[in-house]
Amino acid sequence: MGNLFAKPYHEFNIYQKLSLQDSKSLEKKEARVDQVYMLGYSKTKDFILESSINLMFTSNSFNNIIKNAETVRKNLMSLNCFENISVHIDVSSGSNSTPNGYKVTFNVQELKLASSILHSIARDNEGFVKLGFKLNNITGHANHFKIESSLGNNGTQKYDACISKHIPGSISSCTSGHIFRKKSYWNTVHGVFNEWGTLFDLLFLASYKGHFSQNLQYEGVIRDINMLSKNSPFKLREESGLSVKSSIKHITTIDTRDSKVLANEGAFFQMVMEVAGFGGDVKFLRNYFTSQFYSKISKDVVFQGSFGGGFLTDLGTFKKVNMMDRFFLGGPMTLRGFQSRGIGNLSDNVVAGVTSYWVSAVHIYVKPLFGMESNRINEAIRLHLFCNAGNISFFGKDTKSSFAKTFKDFRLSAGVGIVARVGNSIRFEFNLCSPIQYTSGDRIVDGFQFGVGANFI
Amino acid sequence: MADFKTSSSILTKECLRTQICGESEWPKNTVLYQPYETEQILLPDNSKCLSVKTFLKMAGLEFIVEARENAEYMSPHRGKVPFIKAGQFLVADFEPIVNFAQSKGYSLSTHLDEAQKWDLRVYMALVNNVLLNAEIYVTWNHELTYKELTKPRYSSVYPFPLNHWATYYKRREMLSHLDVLGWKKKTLDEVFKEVERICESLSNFLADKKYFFGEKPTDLDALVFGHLFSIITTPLLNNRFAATIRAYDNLVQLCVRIETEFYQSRIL
Repeated sequence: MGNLFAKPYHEFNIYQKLSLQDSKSLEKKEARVDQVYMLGYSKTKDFILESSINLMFTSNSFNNIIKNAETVRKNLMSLNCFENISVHIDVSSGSNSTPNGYKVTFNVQELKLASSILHSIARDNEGFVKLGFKLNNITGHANHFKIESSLGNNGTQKYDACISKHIPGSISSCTSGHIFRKKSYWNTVHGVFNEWGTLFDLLFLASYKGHFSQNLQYEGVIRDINMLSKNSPFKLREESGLSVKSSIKHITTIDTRDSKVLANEGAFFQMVMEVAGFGGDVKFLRNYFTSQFYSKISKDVVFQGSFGGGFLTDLGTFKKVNMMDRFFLGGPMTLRGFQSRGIGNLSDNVVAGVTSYWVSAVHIYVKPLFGMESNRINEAIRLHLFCNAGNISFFGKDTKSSFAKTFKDFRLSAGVGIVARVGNSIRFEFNLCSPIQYTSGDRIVDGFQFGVGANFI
Repeated sequence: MADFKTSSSILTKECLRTQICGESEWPKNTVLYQPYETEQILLPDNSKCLSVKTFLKMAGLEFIVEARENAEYMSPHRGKVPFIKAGQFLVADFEPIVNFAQSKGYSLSTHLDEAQKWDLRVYMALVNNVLLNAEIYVTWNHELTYKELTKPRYSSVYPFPLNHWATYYKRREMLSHLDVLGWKKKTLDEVFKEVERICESLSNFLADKKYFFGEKPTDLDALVFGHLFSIITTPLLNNRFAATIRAYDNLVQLCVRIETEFYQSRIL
């Protein structure tokens, strides 16, 4: 994204040559936008662009014009139709111009119709390579089609065909439909999962600084659970076989962090509600949330506090929810010091996922080059001290006692490590962990643990 | 080197397994898992389940039958039912179960001499190759039976999109199995001719003995009973399959004998 931001700031350079006083006076100076020009597009339909551009005409000061231009530029970029957009602001001249009038020119470069996809992502402690191709802006209505396959280093395979359309407006939204097939291996819980499904997603992005978004999804999946080996616990084996989940999911996200991976300030909150049972054979209500809070203690030290939890209610009568629906806890990015999904005793024939959990973390990050000006190393790498706590439980009928049980005998671990940021969303962690409090049957990691992913606590 | 290590460790594990198998008695609480009998199970699976149950009863081994809709997916060898859970061990299919029981010291064929043991193996292979495939053929490849009986029964445990999906994939798998063995292109007449031929040779082999190898029942009796009894009692679209078998009186008598001796409650 870096070079994308660079373009509009290019415009600032002109004004930076002016004295501070001048630019101050410019900020306060009354201004209005007389004309907006869009140059360089041929395929994209006008009405797709209009609703974004209308914002420019509400500007009342020069400062405001610049801010709005940036917002409009971001909104236009989010249509995924343009390769880049540059903005020029000039005094308007001619017969229709007003005394304080300006003209704004957006110079856009459209994406080619077909392009290839090749990049890497990380999710759930696994690195993926994505390959595929996409058709951009097929009819000029900001609609796209893509086919991609992702291959993970643990054997996960995902094939996904997606058609999406952006609907610009004061609340911009994006609808998309996916058809996918996925095969994943959860070695610590002996599961091999095959999924064939469809997903319809409706994303609403409130224009308020782009911090607040909501997703409404429908998911219909055929799931096939298979066991890794003959020696897999029988309790897990009993759940193998086919099932259909048909669910509606609502995701609320508030994100004010200044970076998705190594933030200095801000907060993040995500809540997911899922109701399954519209057709299909599993019925449940599932809620879970993650929250993160960052605060800068001094120039080189950042504090992070996180808390998350989840709760699942089985609504089914004939068929119970299976291990793909329940929660698992543990892993190098959540409850450090435990193996991925390593909390709970498998051989006890009890834990094949749980119905509720909570997890929390406290981090103190220190920049590696203490006291130095911000540079590349300080931006990409942090040292951290962490302390994790969390627990799993099955909620019984007696809510009060099971609630108390959840917070008694919790799992606790602490350690130090290095956190690195790769790109804008991949986080690497290399930690020396020491589980302090755990119960027998937990698969712990006492020593070095390596983690990679996008979601973390 | 690493490969060698893992393979040797698997070998040690397997050795350990057989050793443990060999040492202990027939585990208590042995459970036999199979699909639901009345609404789900299909002819080939039913025959196999009945064969295994008969074998276990003949050998005097205790077991409990548990019906699960996902039995074929729970099985350690995917798609093979029935399977037994004996202590820690999961064993699927007729022959592995027979071998497993043998490793525990329970066998029905110890009294046979070498030549008879060969006969036993040959006839068992014949039954598995012909009767089982004929059952699979009728169940999955005969269009009308598939539509009228197989599909409703197989899909009865699944909700809407999955019922078509699961049946389609199962059928594809079964047809490719038949294709590999060269059975797919046979006509129904040819299939029944094969059945007739094996019935004839079984009938000749049985003659007027009580069981195939004299007074004591063997694995072969269990296997043959499982298949013939299922074919006779399963209602199909026409009774040609059952009629083919009913033509051999001594085979039917064998079924009756085993049925009354080991399953008193049922009536042929």
